[in-house]
Amino acid sequence: MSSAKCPFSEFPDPFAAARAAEGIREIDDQGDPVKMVLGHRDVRKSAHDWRTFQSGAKPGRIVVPSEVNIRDIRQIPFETDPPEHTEYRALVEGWFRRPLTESYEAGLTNLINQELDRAISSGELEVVHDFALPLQSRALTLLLNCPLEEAEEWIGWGTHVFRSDDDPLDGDKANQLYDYLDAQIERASRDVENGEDIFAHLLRAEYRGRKLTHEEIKGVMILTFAGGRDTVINAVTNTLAYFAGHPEDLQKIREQPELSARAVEELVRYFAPLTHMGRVATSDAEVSGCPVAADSRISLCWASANRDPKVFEKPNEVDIERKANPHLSFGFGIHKCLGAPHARQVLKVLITALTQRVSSIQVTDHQDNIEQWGDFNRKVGFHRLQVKIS
Amino acid sequence: MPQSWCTNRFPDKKEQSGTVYFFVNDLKFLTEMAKINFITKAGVEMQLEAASGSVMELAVNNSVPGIDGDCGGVCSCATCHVHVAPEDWAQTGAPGDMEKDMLEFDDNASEFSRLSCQMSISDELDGITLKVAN
Ligand code: HEM
Ligand code: HEM
Ligand code: FES
Repeated sequence: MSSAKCPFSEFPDPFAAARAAEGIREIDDQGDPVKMVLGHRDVRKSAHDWRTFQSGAKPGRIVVPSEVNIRDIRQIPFETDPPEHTEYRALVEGWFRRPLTESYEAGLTNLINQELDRAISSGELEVVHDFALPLQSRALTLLLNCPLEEAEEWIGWGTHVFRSDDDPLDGDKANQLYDYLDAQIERASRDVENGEDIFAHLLRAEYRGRKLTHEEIKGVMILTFAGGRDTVINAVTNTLAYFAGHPEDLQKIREQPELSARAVEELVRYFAPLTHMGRVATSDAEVSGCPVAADSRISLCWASANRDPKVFEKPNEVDIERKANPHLSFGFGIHKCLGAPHARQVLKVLITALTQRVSSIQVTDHQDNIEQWGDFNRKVGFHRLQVKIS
Repeated sequence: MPQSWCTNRFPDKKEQSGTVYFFVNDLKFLTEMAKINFITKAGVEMQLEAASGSVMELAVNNSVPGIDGDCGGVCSCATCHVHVAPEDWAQTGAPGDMEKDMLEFDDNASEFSRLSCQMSISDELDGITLKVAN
């Protein structure tokens, strides 16, 4: 429980006042402003209304900060609307549900135990780069069903594939991923029938009576690298920080392992690894009593919705036993996260492994990762989290 | 032995069809089993029984198509959506506030919609019929 304020495991809610007052707040983004939608009901309502608030705008425009200047390629199914979205999504939905199988869970358990053992034997480490990044990358090989060794290259790309230290929107860095994907699609196309990885799966897929194009396959694959990277890295890092600050909760799960599923949902609610995602209005509309002009942007602020006191009791406290927990961390409606079964499984296996293998986590140094959205400063995770672990 | 004797073992989704698991602890529930009928989108009828847990857990443990229970039953994923047969609505009762919230913007929702993870199994639910929404 949060008796004393913990300097590293608190994730404050910067949206409270604006959410209670106007429920929506405009911020600038490279001259293409975004009205952030903050209340739980308004976020759900706008996410549901894909006819008015579309995802299939110019590629990169629904992402905040906008990426229209650094890419032309459309992410699939993310930047499409029905009916295309429905059909694209159907091609990959089954694939993204594989994390629920027994063998997947076993593989993941094996992998995460190894990562933890490595961490414990070194005794002291920086969690973001030396634990969360390799764990996320290696776990992704299970999702894509490709050799574990592939992860070494992805780890080399650093925590964000699109960002370098001196440039938050680095086009060259993105090219490295694009080149990699081109080469992989090329490789997989040499043996489409027998290939067992996601590239072969996509090469075999039929969309509207034809095969997917190279660009479409790339559009799907970019998303598994972009959408599943920072989000999982932050979720893993923050989970370690949380249990370092709240060993009593880890002990509770040790005694009642059946709590782990609820704990995952509650931590994901609290951390909201993806703060918000944009939409473009297809006509003049209104959200929360505020006019939204055609062709302007709104964003669905999952992080704010998750702290809405109209829905959650004690929204700023972590209650790993929270029973009803309609959080929006994985989105809402037709675009809700395809990677959620994988992400949930990663966190569940991680928490179980922590209860079995770790007796103490101590934070010795940390540097918060604070996002700035207009006047809002939101802690989403850490740039660095130095811990002693045993 | 009915396969549903293992049905309150969620989230061990592995222990599904084919294998019959028997737990001594389950014996004490045997007197108060509730039978629940599921009708899937494809029109397949499945009759399952359990004495405890949630309706979602019963369905997931028996691999009812269209009920996935992604969030483990905390009302956040809506992958456990069912339509209660109108004549059974009095037995199940209406959704709670949060549940209603999550159903409000679901295109498949009807006036008889429930999220089955929010329905606890008890003998009061005996004999009801649920149509899987997805
Ligand atoms: C804790 C980790 C994660 C969080 C919090 C998260 C969050 C989200 C959210 C909020 C959305 C909805 C975006 C929108 O409505 O526009 C989304 C969509 C998506 N996510 Fe995740 N995500 C996570 C992990 C992953 C992973 C691991 C993958 C895949 C490797 C992934 C792939 C996707 C895809 C493909 C979509 C688009 C689905 C569609 O448009 O139909 N995510 N994610
Ligand atoms: C081609 C697609 C994408 C590109 C080029 C891209 C690019 C970027 C860039 C440049 C940043 C750094 C922004 C800054 O620091 O100001 C960023 C951050 C982030 N992106 Fe992406 N992104 C893409 C897709 C996605 C998707 C689909 C998701 C989630 C569903 C996602 C989740 C995030 C998150 C959570 C951060 C914050 C990471 C952090 O600062 O720790 N990205 N992205
Ligand atoms: S199982 Fe997720 S809402 Fe019911």
